[in-house]
Order: sequence, then C-alpha cells, then structure tokens
Amino acid sequence: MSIIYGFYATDAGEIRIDGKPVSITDSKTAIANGIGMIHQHFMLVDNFTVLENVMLGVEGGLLLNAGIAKARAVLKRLADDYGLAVDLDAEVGELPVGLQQRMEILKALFRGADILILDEPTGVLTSAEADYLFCILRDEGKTVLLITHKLREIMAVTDHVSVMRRGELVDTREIAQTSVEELAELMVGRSVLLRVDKKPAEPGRTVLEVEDLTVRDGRGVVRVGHASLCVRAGEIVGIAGVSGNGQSQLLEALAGIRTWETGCVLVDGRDVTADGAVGPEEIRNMGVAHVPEDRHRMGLVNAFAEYENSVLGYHGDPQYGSGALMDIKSMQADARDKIEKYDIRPPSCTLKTSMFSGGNQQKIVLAREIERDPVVLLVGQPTRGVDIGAIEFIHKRLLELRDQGKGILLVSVELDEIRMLANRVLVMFDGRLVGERAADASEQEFGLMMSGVTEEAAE
Amino acid sequence: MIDFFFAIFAIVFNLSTLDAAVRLSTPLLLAALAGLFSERSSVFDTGLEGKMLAAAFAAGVVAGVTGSAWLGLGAGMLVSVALALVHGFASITHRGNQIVSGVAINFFAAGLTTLLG
Amino acid sequence: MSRGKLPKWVDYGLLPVLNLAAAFFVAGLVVLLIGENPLEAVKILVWGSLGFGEGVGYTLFYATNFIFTGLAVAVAFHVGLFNIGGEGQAYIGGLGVGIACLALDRIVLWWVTFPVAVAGGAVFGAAWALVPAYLQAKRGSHIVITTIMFNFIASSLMVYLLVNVLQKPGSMQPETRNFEAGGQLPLIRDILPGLDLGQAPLNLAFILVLAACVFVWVLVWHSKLGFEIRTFGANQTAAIYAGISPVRIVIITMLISGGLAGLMAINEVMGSQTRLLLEFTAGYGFVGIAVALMGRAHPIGIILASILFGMLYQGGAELAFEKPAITRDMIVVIQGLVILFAGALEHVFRPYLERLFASAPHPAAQAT
Repeated sequence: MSIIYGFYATDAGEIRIDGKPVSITDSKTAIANGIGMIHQHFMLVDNFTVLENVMLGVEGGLLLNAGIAKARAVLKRLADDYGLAVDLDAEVGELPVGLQQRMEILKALFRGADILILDEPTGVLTSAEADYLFCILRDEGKTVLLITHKLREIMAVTDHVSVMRRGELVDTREIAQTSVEELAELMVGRSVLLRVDKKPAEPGRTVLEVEDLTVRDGRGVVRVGHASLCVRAGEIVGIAGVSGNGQSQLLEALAGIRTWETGCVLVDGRDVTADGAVGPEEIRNMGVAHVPEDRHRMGLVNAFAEYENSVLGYHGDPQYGSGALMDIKSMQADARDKIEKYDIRPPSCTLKTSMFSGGNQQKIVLAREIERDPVVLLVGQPTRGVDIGAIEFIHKRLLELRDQGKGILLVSVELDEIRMLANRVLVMFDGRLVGERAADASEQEFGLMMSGVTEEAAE
Repeated sequence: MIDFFFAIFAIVFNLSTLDAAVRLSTPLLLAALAGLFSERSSVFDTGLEGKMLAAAFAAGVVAGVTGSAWLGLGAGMLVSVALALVHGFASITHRGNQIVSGVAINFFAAGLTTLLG
Repeated sequence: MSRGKLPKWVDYGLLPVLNLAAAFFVAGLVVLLIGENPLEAVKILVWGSLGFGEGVGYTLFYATNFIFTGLAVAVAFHVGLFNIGGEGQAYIGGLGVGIACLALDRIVLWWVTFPVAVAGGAVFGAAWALVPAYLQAKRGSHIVITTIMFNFIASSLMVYLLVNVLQKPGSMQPETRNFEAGGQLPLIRDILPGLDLGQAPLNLAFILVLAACVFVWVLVWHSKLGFEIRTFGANQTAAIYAGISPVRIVIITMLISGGLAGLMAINEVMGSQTRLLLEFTAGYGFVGIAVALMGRAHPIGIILASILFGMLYQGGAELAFEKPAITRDMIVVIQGLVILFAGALEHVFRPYLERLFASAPHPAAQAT
C-alpha cells in the first residue's frame, strides 16, 4: 500500500487510475492523483494545531496567512458535509485518538482525495463509529481501500475483498459470495479454527487485587483514575476499551513501569509496595509476568539475537550464569527449548530478532513470560500485527494457562478477542473502569460503554 | 561602594566597551542563529565551529587575494554552505549520526585550515 | 531491517575498508591540492611507521593511547551515549597517575606504584565523567555538550594545578618534577633489547591496554552488566521494561568509559614522559572517537583502527620531516575524514553492497 502512496518505488508493474496508467514516485504525485492515505500509525505533528496539520504540505504560497484563511473555510465546509467536526485550533497532541483519526481523514479529503486508503483504522474507533465512518465515505462517492485483519469488518462494510499473504495477492472475492471461514483459510493457507473451544473457567483464590489505583502521566494528566479490580487464579479478566483510554497506563503501572499516585496493588495477597517503591524487576520477582502491548517498542530489542531477547528482564537469573557473567550456552539451550515448544520459525536462536515475522516475535515474548511460571500474567494486545495462524496458537496457549490456574489480565482493543477469551470483561473509558459485564453481553452494550455511556445509563 | 559602582558603570557604558560588545557578540549571534535554524528542523549541528572556521579561512584568503571584502564574505558563505551540504548529505540523505558528522566537520576544518594556512 | 542482510565478513570487513578507502581518497585529493604526490606521501608514511624497528615501536606506542580512548568511546556507544570527553577524562586521569607516582616513586618499586597509579588514573578519569553522566541521567542534559564543556574545564584546571600547585620548584615550565625509577614503567626496549626499538617509548602499558580490550569484550558481550548496557543502548523502553534503571546504567557505563580514558595517562605520564605536563593528551582523546567508529565499537576493530592511527601519527611525523608542506595537521584532516566516512556516512555503500550480495542465498532471506 505504501507503494500506491509513493513511499516505496515499484520494481515492476503499473498503477492505473480510472483506466489511465500513472507513475507515482512520491506522496505528492499520489495526492495529485486523488489518493489519500490514512495510516495505521498517524502521521501527524503533535505540537501543531489541527489546521496546521491539515495544511502541511499544501500551504499554498510563500506566506502562511492567505492559505490559512482559505483552508479554514474549506475545512468547515468539509466538516459539515461529512459530519466530521474537529476543533481546528486544538493542538493535535491533546486530542483523543478517535479525533486524530477523524482529522487524518479530513486531511485526505482536504487534498481532494477520491480514493482513500485506510490502514487498520478501527483499532482506535468503536465499531459503531467505524461503521458510520465507512458509510459516509461510501455514500459520498469515494472509493475506499480498507486494509484490515478484522474479518468482521470486511464482511460488514466492503463490497469486494482481496486477500494478501506474504506479499502476494492470493485471491479476490465478492463479499456476497464468501464467508468468514473461507477468508480466514485464504489468509493462512489452511483451515483454521476461528472459535477456540474452551471449558468454563474455574476461578480460585484472588491472585491480583488492585484498589483505587490512580496513575498520572509525565505531564500530570490523570490516565487511570481510581481503578479497582481483581483477578482470580484460573480466570481471564479482559479490559475492553477504545485505544488510548488508559489501558496501557494501567497495564504499565501494574508491571511496575509507571509509578502510581494512590492506591494499592496486592499480588497473591501481598502488598507490592510493602517494602517501599517497586520497579519492574521486583514485580517480576513476585510472579507477575508482563507481555507488553508494543513488542517493538518495549517487549523486544530488535537488534538482539533471539536468545538474548528470550532472557530479557530475566537476565539476572542465576540460571543464565552465576555472578557477573552470563552463560551464553545455557541461554541458547533455554532459547532452543522455547523455540521448539512454541514452534517459533525459523528455529534459530542466533538470528537477529528483527528478522522474525510479527507472529513469531510475539511468540518469543510469550514464551519468555509464560515459561517463568508466573502467578499473574499481564497481557496487552497479544495478537496485534500477528497473522491468523499465530493468533490461533496464542489464544490456545492463553486458555491453557488459565486452566493451569494462572490469573490473566488481558488488555485488548479487539473486543472479539476479549469476548472470546475472557470470562469477565471490564470496560475502560477515559481512565476509569466504567463497568463489568460477562463476556457474552451484547456487542451493542459493550459499544455503548466503550464510548462513555455510563453503566446506569446503559441499563 | 558607590565609587565601585560608578567605576563599573563607567566601564560598561563607555563607547569602546559598547563597540567591543557589538563586535564580539556578532559571531556569537550569527552562530546562535545558525544553530537555531538547524535545531528547528531537528538537526543538531555540532559542526558550527568547523563551518565558521572554514568560512573565516576562505573569507580571509579570498579577501586578501582579491582585495574585496564582499568577495571574501561570499567565499566564506559558500564554503560554509558547502560544509552544511556535506552535513546534510551524511545526516539527512544517509541518516548518519548528526553529532558524528558535525564532529567530523570540526576536525576536517581544524586540520585543513592549519594545513593550508 | 537494513542491518544483518549482509554476510558478516562484508559487514565487519569490507564495509569499513571501503569507508576507509573513501576517506583516504579524499585525503589524497588534499595532498594533491597542496602540490605533492599522494602516492609518494603514502610511501613515506608506511615506511616511516612500519619500515624499521623504532618506527614500529612508536606506532604501537601511539596505538596504545588510541586503544584506551577508543575503548572509552566504544563502551559509551553501547549504552547509546557519545562520550566526546575522552580528552578531558584522560587529562584528569593523568592527574591521578601523577599524584600516585609523585607520592610513591621514592619509596617503593615501580610494580608497587603501578597498581596504585592504574587505580588513580581510572578513578580520576571516571570522576571526570561522573558529572556529565549524572546530568544526562537525571536531568537529560546532552552528554555531548557537557563532556565538551568538561574538556575545557579539565584543561583550565590542569593549567592552574601545574602552574600553582604541582610545579617543580625553581622551574618555569608548567610541569611536575621527573618521577624517579619507582614511578616509571619499564620500557619494552629495555626488557627486550633484541627487538631493536630504538628510542621508542613503547612500555608495559601496551600489555595493560590489551588486558583492557579483553575486559571490555567480556564486559560488553559476556556479562550481565554488558547485557543491560546493550539493551539500554538499543531500546530504552525495553530496558525499562526489563527492570534496568536508566539512571544507574548510564552512570555506571560512563564511569567505566571515563576510567578507560583515564588509563591512557598510564602510557603517556608513567610510561613515556615520566612527569605530568601540560597538554600531554595532545588530542588523543578525540582520536578515540575516530578509532571507535572505525572499529565498530569492538575491541578487535579498535586495535586495528588504533594501529592504523598509530601509523598515521608516526608516519605523519616522518612525512612532515621529508615534505615540509605536509604538516602534522594532515593527520587531523584524515581524522576528520575517517570520522565522516566511517561514522556519519557509514551507510553510503551499504545499499550497493546489499544489491551485490542479494543474489547470494542466505538463511535470513526466508525468515522475513
């Protein structure tokens, strides 16, 4: 997709728009040809205002003022036409992610895009918001190219679907004539179980208890406000919510990476701060394992060999060498063990981690955290950017772990995933846990809670 | 005490001090402006010292040979811009380390100016 | 992703050689500009540095300095910091070495003074790195700026001390008295007279520096601390996730880096000059940057790069003698070019090499 938008050059082949072949060498020609792209990770300048961001690249002339007035007028009209209201003078970094997405779309429309490429747009929108958005764009006569791994979304809003696997276009189908199962099969190359068979959970004693937790970020903004929850042994508790509502901060606080302002956390009945402040190392030693949301940013060191990453965080363990030195042989033996157990491919523990695919990288992290036999497992977005085959494996593994009597706290923006795995679901909105539902509550109910409608109003 | 302040006052506010202050602050101001510009585009320019040195050298040589201060100024700017291009080529086009590239320019200029001078 | 696509020998062998060749090509142009024949200059340079015993001795003596400061820069690289203060840390390290020698040289034998001087150099050098390290770790002040500042402070401090405190009584030179035998390291030419080293001041610090190389190799690639250093250098968020304290790791690494730089003074002060004098560091701290970049922050690479720079220094002196138009400042030019091509422009040749080697089968190619 980046080729169409001119980030990469084509090696062979051609692109035709309205039947005419065009050559797209950079994003400027792409825009001139009416292509707009909304990236999965937004390409915005955080300390600019909405208006400045929209104008970026199309300032129109040497001096800013004339362009600003014109852009303001055009944007107002666009916002009215498409029902995409955004405060033009707000600083982008301050806006919630949903609004940022909205302004990314405005940005594309402002450039006169007729073809919109949306790359995984719904990670940050509730399903209702997403459906609304797609309908508007379609009804206004725009062509929408939606890139997503969520089959439900494809079935719900698209007309045609093309499946890609390992850089190749595998097949194209009419939506009306295909099914979720068929698409999944095309994506993986073999038939997959989309539903994991699970036994009912048998919760035991409480292993993680959080009371009245408040976390502020670096700028002093409250990201988690008075959160209380508990996880019992042998159950999976899901935290659902639109991305950016404090789930990340909650997870990081519990893992000891962020300090919290008030509240207390009990692991297996022990107050973790009983001996003073704690960091990730102490929390780990108490039996809390953490699979972070973003494996590239936090869970792995991409430049390291696989075996080095498979001890990250546990490198101080005497198992990997006594004293100050590390026993590379035992590290590698251990890594090979995990590679076999988790079917990590290619099976080479000396290969650089960045050479593994997303699914295999995630397995490296999971293997590292699970094999330490933790009491509590904190899991964030376990299947983000992971192929369907690995998703199946990871889901099974998490359920196995649950049945072994671990307490699992699962944070995910994929509501389907949470509903499938968890037996209790907490919904987080704007830093607060707004309510708890059983996993089989209706999607509408979750959707309302995730968009901030309080529990009482929802009932 | 009062005498002391008067003495300070006399030193600070006489014409030759003012003259020296303006003269000495000019290069600082120019360098600061240069640093500001590259910093704004998030290129950390550690090579300012080398650029100024090479520019001063070129300006001196050209002005001395041609007898024209304006030509000297032009030569200085040209050399400094050329080094800036090297800096940009290394740290922007090829995504090299900005600091390393700046340090390299400093060494290169320091060596070359004494070698040629 | 771009890294690791190449075979190892290309990444660590061919690429640095290509970068180096480019640097020397430009240096050759400079020689042409001066009006001399570059090939002849190279001939004088190589003969002057390797052609006879004394030349080799000097080459290795200079290389010893560069290995120390190169290791210092390399260790800091691994934690993601650019320690540009090796010059100042070595200078202050000299103070530690000097004090140890002045205190002990009349009382004990050299091998008793030696460990104390080593400790003195390392501790003083490390102390000089402590404040920039603390400011970086706690306040986020840019280490490049602070270490540059500390080079200037070190320079002024040493002038003050040598003129006012440590100066030899009755002398006008800003230097201490000569150390007696108890404060002098044995020279290799005295231990092994058969080597025909002439007057070369190569001394036992050469053995110390090889030990330091082994130490750095073990530290960075085989110790838990090294694992933490490399983790923090490659991905700070992952390091925090792994329970590594940023403040602690930055400060410890900078202390090690400063200590290694401080040890350079053993070679110069205790080994060669046998007195503490002004500007004995002579820019060797800065050469460490070029050496560390060229040697890819690996001890083996640093040794090779240091020998190359040792050749430049020794051969450059011969060159300046034979061809007065090419002064020793030529070395600084080459140094700048090497830093530019081996450091900042290190990726220039990579895409071409990758295309060249893309056809070769490679297990990693199927992995992605």
